[in-house]
Amino acid sequence: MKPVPIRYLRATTVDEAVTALARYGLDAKVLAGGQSLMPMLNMRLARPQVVVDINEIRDLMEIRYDPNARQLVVGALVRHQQLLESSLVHAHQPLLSAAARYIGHWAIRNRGTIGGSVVHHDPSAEWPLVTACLGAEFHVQGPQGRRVIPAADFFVTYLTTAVQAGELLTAVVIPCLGPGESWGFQEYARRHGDFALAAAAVTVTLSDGVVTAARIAVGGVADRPVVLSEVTQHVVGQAPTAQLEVQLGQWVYDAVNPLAESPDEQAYKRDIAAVLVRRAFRQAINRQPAGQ
Amino acid sequence: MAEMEAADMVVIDTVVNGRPVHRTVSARRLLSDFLRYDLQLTGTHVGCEHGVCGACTVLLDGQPVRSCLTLAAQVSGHHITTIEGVAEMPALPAATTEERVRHLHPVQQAFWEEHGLQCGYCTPGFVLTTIALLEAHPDPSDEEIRETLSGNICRCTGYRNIIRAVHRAKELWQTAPSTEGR
Ligand SMILES: Cc1cc2nc3c(=O)[nH]c(=O)nc-3n(C[C@H](O)[C@H](O)[C@H](O)COP(=O)(O)OP(=O)(O)OC[C@H]3O[C@@H](n4cnc5c(N)ncnc54)[C@H](O)[C@@H]3O)c2cc1C
Ligand code: FES
Ligand code: FES
Repeated sequence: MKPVPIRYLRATTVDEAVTALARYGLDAKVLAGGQSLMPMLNMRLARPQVVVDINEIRDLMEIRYDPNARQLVVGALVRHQQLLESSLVHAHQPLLSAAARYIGHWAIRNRGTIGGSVVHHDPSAEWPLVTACLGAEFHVQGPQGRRVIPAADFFVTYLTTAVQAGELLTAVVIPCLGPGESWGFQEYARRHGDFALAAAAVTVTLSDGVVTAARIAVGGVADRPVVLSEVTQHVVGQAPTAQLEVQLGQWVYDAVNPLAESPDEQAYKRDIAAVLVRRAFRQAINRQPAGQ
Repeated sequence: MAEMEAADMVVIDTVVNGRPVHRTVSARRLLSDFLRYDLQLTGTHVGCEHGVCGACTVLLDGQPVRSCLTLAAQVSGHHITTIEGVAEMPALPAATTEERVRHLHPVQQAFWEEHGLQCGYCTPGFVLTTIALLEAHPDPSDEEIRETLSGNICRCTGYRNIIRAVHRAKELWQTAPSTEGR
C-alpha cells in the first residue's frame, strides 16, 4: 500500500501549476487535499509519474463575497472545514456549511478541498450535489487560457468532469441565497461520515404563500448529481401544503432512475430519494421567515 | 519564471515536535512512513493506509490530519506534532510528583484514569485529535466530542471509556488554563 515511484513538484502560483501541467501532460496529477488521490496512489489505482502539489498556492485559498453579483467566489483549495466554519458562508449561502458537515470526518475535512471534490466527482459526494443544485460556475485555467464551465456541463459521469488534462480548476463561483429564498439539505448514509447512499439539496422562494422559485437536486442516484427541473416546475405556483409534499415525493420517485443491482434496490433508492427531497423541502419551508 | 523540475528526491525542512528536521526523502514517501522509518517515531501507528481508521493521525500546523494521506515532501515548511511530542508537552501545574515523573499530558492522564485504551493501537490518533479539539473548543458538548472522534476507529474499547476520558480531559484542561499544549 505505497504509491508507485513518483516525481514531486510544488507549485506556488497558478501559473507555475499550469506550466507544470502543460509540461508533463497526461503523466501528471494535481495533488490538492489528497483525500481521494492519496488513497488511489496508495492502492495503486492511480499511477501518475508526476504529482503537482498545489497546496502552497495562496491565491486558491480564499473565500470571497461579491456583493454586486451576490456570489461567493470559493478558491479551489478551500478546505471542507473552512467552508463549514466560514462566517461569510454562514451569512450568504448556509446550504454550503450544512452540506460540509456531512463530509467524512474532521481530519478529512481539514485537508480535503472543494476543488478536489468536484474534480474527483464521486456522484454521491456533497460538493457536486450542492454546486449542481445552486448552478455554480467553475473557473478553469489551462495552456489555452481561462474558461468558465457552468454546472450543467461540468459533471460528465462517474469520476469524470469537463476539466481536461493540463487544466487547473481555480475557483468555484456559487450564487448566494436570494431574498425570500430558504434552503434544506438531507442525507442518508449507513454510518456517520460515510459517503451518502443518497442526498438531497433544495432551495425554495416563497411569495404571498406560494412557491415562486425552487431548486431541487439529488445525489447518489445516478452517474452525476441530478437536478430535477421538471419536478421543480410542478412545484412552482403552488402553496407548500402537506398535500404538495406528498405529491412531491411521488414526482421524485418517478423522476429518478437510480442504477441498482436489483429492482428491489432500485425501489429502495427511489424511496430514499423521495423521502430526502420531501424532508429537505419541509426544512426549506420551515426556514422561511414568518409571514411568507 | 524559472521552469520547475519534478524531482524523485525531495529535500524537506520541517519541524517535528518542536525540533528542526532536515532530510532528503523519496518523493513517494508517505508522511506516516517518514515519521516511522526515517525518524524512528513509531508512536504514529498505521492501520489502513487509506484514510479510514485514524490511527496515523498527526497534527499538521496544529490541525489533525491523516499522515498516511500526506506525502512527506508536502510538510516542508510546516510543523508536525506526533504522540512523542505530546509526552514532552508541559504537565499540569497541579500534577503530583508521581504524575510529573510519568510526564503525562492532561489528555494522556485522562485516558489513563478512565481506561480509555486497551491495546493502544488507536490511542495516538485519539489523543492527538482530542488535544486539537480542546485547543480549538475548550468546552465541547458530548455530541461534539462524539462527532469529532467519529473519524477514529477503536477495535477494543467500545468507545465509552474514550468518550469518558475526553470529558475528564476537558475537566483537567479547564482546571489548568496555563497548559497550552504546545
Ligand atoms: C475516510 C474518508 C471519508 C470521506 N468521506 C467523504 C464524504 O462523506 N463525502 C465526500 O464528498 N467526500 C468524502 N471523502 C473524500 C474527500 O472529500 C476528498 O477531499 C475529495 O473527494 C477530494 O478532494 P481533495 O482536495 O482531497 O483532492 P485530491 O485527492 O488531492 O484530488 C482528487 C482529484 O482531483 C484532482 N484535482 C484536485 N484539485 C484539482 C484542481 N484544483 N484542478 C484540477 N484537478 C484537481 C486531482 O488530480 C485528483 O484527480 C472522504 C475521504 C476519506 C479518506
Ligand atoms: S492508517 Fe491512516 S487513516 Fe488508517
Ligand atoms: S485500544 Fe485497541 S484499537 Fe483502540
